[in-house]
Amino acid sequence: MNFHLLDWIILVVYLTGTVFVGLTARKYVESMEGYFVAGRKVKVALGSATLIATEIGIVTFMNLSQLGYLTGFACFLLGIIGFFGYMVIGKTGFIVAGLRRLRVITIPEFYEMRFNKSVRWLGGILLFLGGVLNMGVFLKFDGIFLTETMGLGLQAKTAVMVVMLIIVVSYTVLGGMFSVVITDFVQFVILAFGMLIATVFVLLKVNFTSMANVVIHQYGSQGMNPIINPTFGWIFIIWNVIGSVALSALNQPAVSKSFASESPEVGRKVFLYTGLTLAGRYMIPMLWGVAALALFGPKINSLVAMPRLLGSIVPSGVLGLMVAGMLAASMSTYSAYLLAWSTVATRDVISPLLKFKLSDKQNVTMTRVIATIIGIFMLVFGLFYQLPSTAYQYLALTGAIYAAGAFACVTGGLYWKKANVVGAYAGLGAGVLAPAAFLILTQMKDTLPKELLFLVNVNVSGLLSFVLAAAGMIVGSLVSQKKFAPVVLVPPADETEPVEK
Amino acid sequence: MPTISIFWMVMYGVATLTFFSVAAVITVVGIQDLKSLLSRANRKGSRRENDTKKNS
Repeated sequence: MNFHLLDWIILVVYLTGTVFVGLTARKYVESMEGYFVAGRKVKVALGSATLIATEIGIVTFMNLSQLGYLTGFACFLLGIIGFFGYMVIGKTGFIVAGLRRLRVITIPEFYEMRFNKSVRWLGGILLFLGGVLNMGVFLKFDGIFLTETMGLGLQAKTAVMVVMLIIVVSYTVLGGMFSVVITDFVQFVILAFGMLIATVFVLLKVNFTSMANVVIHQYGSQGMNPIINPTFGWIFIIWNVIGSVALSALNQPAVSKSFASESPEVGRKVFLYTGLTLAGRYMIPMLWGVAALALFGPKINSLVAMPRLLGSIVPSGVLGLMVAGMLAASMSTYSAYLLAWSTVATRDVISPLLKFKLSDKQNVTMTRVIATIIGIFMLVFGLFYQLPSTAYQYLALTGAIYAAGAFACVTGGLYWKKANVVGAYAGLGAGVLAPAAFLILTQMKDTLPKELLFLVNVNVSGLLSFVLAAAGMIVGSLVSQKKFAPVVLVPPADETEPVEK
Repeated sequence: MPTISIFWMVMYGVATLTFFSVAAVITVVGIQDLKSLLSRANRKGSRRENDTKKNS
């Protein structure tokens, strides 16, 4: 076992502290806005810390280091693309400032304002399903990571998954966004420290020159050049350029942090400062994966390589701190995702079906129940589902289920006067086709005729989802302009927050 | 070492340095933001308690 008494003490103190802080935050929840968007009082630095903490989890370390292990330095391009996506939003306020100005809590609420109630309901279902499928594998990766780094053995995976789930669900469900913001900040500090520790020990163990030599030896030019690397190529790059903007602006857990900000301007800046860290938070774990390749060679399980590396090179005592940092990263991601998807389910899927209006208290209670159910789903899904591609591609594709249609509807709705309800239906429907076909058809890959094999190419499927969604929105709106006149949105004239007296 | 690996090394160095520098700044400024968020919430909480007492 890599974990010793001191490591356990550090870990137990950290976990107890987190739950205590998270539960204490309950007292700040005074209303529904308080529960869902922390009363919209979050400033730039705090917002950036919570957004970064949300976007970094063990799942991101695992999928990015897997890419580093399997593709060498070629995958570093993703960091640059991700940086570009956040910078577009951070510089222009593209989508997020518009949505924040309208004071929505979830993205489907915008669909009702701009299109109609049914679009909100359909958009809510797609957002919820895509989001929960996307999140379904998180716990599995955490189980693998923790058992490998701590040296517990993979048989302890289920127990680790259950313990993590209980801790996160408890404070997220009870404290809502206030708990999430406060614990996220603490977790951001600890996770940054954990990343620093891991990076220092990795670089002390394996230097850059030996990593470069191993990559060239194992993968040749493909390990350096993403365009000729078969995992990537032009289709993947184009898909990711579009997808990075769409997912950054429309990932409900992340964008909730922008909705929780003081003003649209603060929401935009949160994305700007978060964007500055993006290339680093991609490339840091990718390099851990490359270092694992240099140390262990190409023949071990690509998901296990990085945690095994950290478990073997980080000394006792420091390992406890690093694992606490990694756990912090994951817990902040879970809490934000659980809250975001349960909020969408309550407000956009279930509430519209009820014949009566839910009170604030009922809204919060239902959100808590759904967050718990999602947690249980994550456990079951994580234990039984086998990934059809690399973890990164699975996450990007399930993200496309909701992001492709949402990107067409929200961009059209905010910036194109002719966007109407028919275009919205067509965009949402068309956006889900290619990813759904991929997820289903990969289960019967061997029986597919040659002409349909392109549908089980994850890169083609991902790019197609955005192209089809955009085409659906444009064609649907243009052919039905006369029958379905677009709704004109009038944003509030002044978005100034009430002044404290 | 091929030029392209030197390119990735430089990119990695810049990205990592930026990440940890921004993280340090956000940590320092974020503490102030967090204090202000909690004190505002506290003020609202005690005002609400006073209102309840007055009404009863």
